[in-house]
Amino acid sequence: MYIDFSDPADIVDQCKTLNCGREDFLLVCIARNDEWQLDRILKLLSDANLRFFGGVFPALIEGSTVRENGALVQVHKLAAEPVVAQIDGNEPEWAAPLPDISGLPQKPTCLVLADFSCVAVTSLLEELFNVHGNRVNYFGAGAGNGTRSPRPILFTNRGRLTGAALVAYVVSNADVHLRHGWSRNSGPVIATKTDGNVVKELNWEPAMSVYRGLVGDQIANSLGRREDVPEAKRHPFGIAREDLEDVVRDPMMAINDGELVVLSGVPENSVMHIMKADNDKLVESARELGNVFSQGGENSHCLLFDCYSRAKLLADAFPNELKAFVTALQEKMPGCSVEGALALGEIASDGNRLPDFHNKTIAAGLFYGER
Amino acid sequence: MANADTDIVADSLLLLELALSIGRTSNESVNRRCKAFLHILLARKNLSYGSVWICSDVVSRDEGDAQTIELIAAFPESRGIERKISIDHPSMAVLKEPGFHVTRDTDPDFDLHVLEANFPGGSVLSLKLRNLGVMRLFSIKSNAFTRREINQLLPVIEIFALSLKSAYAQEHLQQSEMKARLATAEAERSRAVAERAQKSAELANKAKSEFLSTMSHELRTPLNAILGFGQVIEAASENGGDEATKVGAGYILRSGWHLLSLIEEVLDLSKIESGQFDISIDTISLTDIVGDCHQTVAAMAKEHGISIGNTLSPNQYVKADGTRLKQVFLNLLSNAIKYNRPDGTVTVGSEHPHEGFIRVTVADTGRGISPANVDKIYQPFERLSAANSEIDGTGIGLTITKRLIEAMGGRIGFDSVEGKGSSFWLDIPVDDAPAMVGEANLTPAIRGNTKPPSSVDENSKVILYIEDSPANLRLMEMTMSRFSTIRMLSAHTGEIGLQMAEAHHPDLILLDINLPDMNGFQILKRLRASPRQAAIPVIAVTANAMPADLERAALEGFDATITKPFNLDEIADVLHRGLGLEPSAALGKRHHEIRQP
Repeated sequence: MYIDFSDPADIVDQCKTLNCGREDFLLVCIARNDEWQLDRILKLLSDANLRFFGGVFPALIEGSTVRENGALVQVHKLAAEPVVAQIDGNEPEWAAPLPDISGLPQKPTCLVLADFSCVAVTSLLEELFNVHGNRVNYFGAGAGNGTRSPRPILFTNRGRLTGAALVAYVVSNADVHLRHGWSRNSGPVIATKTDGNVVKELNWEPAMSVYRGLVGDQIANSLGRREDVPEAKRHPFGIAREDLEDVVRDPMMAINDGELVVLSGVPENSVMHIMKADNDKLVESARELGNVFSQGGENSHCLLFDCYSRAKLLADAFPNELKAFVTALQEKMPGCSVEGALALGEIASDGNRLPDFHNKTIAAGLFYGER
Repeated sequence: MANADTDIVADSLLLLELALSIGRTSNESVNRRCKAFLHILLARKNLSYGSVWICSDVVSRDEGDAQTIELIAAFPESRGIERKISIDHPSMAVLKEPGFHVTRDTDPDFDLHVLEANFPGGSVLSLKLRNLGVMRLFSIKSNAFTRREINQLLPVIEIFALSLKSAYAQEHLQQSEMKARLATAEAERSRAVAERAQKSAELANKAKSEFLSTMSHELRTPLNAILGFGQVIEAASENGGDEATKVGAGYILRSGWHLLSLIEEVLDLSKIESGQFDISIDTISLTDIVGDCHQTVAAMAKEHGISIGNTLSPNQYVKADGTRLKQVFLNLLSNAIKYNRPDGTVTVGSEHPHEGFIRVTVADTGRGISPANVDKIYQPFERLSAANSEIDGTGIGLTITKRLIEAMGGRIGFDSVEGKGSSFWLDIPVDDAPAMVGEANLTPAIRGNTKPPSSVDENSKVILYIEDSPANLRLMEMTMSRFSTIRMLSAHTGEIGLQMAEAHHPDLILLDINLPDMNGFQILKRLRASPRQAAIPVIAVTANAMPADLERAALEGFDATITKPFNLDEIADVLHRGLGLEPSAALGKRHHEIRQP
């Protein structure tokens, strides 16, 4: 439920109409333009004895519409209180043990909201996969307001969290998928030396010079410029995967005379390509994603995390992407609501492969059966 | 063609990426290497699960475990159920095949090959890791793992297996090093314990040494008065005193000398046991040593009615400490006399040198040693059947004798026939005769005993005795009264003594070492610094009878040392040597004929 509030109390009023059960939690996504009201929102929700978790995102999605303000609230039945992990170091540090999910009637979904500026998101996903394997789905997004340093943009009833991740075990049937539509354009190159999300060397040479050789001076020089959409954003890296779309890495800036910062971590020795995609391809990938879903029913609702940078790249055409997805999905599941947020990193895996933290991608989770 | 080239490049890059990811640092554990590699494989090839199984004998290095195989790494770990299975399990069939084995969910025995949880179907690829174990990879696709894919993987898996082998070698090496380090640490700990024990022993030894020195002084001081006055009383009674006094004085002296010899022997044994005695090996005339000892015990033998025979070959030389060797012989001879029968004999003899030793025997005709006592003979304070007899003895003479002869590189033993006598033998290292045999080859102790008495000067002499003990002063006064030409002055402090030396310029000074205001060494220094007194002979009088004390006295410049308790004969000897005096009357007979040096 998207709530366009003028007073935080409006959110509470709306939430009270949702008739939350004992095991229900509210997933609350706040548009960054309303982040300034977050403390009051959290206080009011707590005062109303509502259990919640969520984060701040660049914008919200309601159907095929992008909302720059407001709040998104969804009710999810959770197996336990969301677990918090600090991810501002090299490895995640869990605040509590992960819950036992062995007795659940259906395959739950690990809904992961992570501070996008922390490179240990990748380690977090590996640990979750190591523990749960294919007994859960993995779905989620990088949260944040776009500032590239840890900020208190995640929250639970216990308060706001900085440099952290939230893992909520959603108890309902779910189907999760992602697509991005980017394809290999040039390369390959090998990330021969990396440090988290800093690519230091490509093909045993300074990363920036190799990148420059691949995309040209004009594009390479656009990195880090205060433009709305630097040209380099249209030439991301893709980490090679077999039988799947490559994992996209969004180039951010050049540092230290030749090193290249990308949005999320790059494992050393990864084979990468320079990717390309025009608007049509991107929109088409959204349509494909909508077509992937085949299950669901009357109570289906879709949580969509679409990359903020896609929205910027597509600009005025972005609603077309959302529309393409919604249309495709609703053709199979009429009445299935689509809500979500523009994200800073996307996660979706059914557990039969390692969950990656993607950039410039659309991730969709269809929850059905229960509420 | 372009597509084929692209495929080759892509495949090559895949292999390169995998190869570069194997064992990226040499200090990674086996488990971490495996998990890191499985992680890359799963991410890169879109696989759902991977595991590494290693034969138990490789993991534990125990060949007895060769029939089982263990799961050592899995990703994700949660899907591994079995941890240790037989190598004959169907899932491990690849161990008996070259290279690899693929099982698909379309195969009838597919389930037998699956050990993992939540496997919905698909394909399982088992890759042999040399002779170490198996890597198992799972895909949810039934048609995964084509022959081409497998052939691509095999060389990489081979590198991975080599990496694992190296990791195990490193792990085992580290374990060995750890064991070695632990052993070294243990050895160091033991060494530290030993050092502490050594230090503790050294401290204890030092304490013992100090105790011995103190004991020597503290016991000798009162004995000095007992024995000194005893001798004075005895001498007086012999010159017309009553019989009862004479007998009483005799008891006092016998008991006193016995007590003194007991103290000295106990202290001697303590020094030997604590290694605080010096042995100075030299070329010694065995003939002279035995001759001297013969003379020393002659009076005692006569008293006991024992005749001593000497069949020792002449001109026998041995390597020994002359003083200690004399001590050994004196002990054997005195025992042979004391434990002999009335009118018995003691015979000293020798055998021809054999294998570098000469055997010297001291045989008696006494009661012999019973077989039951043979093992106790060298035990300290073990007096055997003499314990309840009237024969004097401390029971440690033979203990000391044995330690001394062994310290000089010799041996001791005995043969005994109960009722007929005992024959103690000494094996002493022989030595060649010195080039010139004469006075210079004799030890000082022997030289002292061989000097003939010099002539006596009857001129009046003044002796100054500096002593704080009134009893000792009185004793010395009484002793000196026997010399008609001696006038004795006394001083009870060092300072007064120095003033009197300055005023009277005595012919000889007897100086107690332990005085209340200054010690004897300080007084001697001041005397030697004074032109008028520098040449006056100064005799140290001390109850500190440890060798180190005597050595120090000599080093500091005393002309001689008299140890307390006084032996009047010694005093007479000192006066005789220092002043050329003879006593005007007999000073009494020594009752401790055999005294340990």
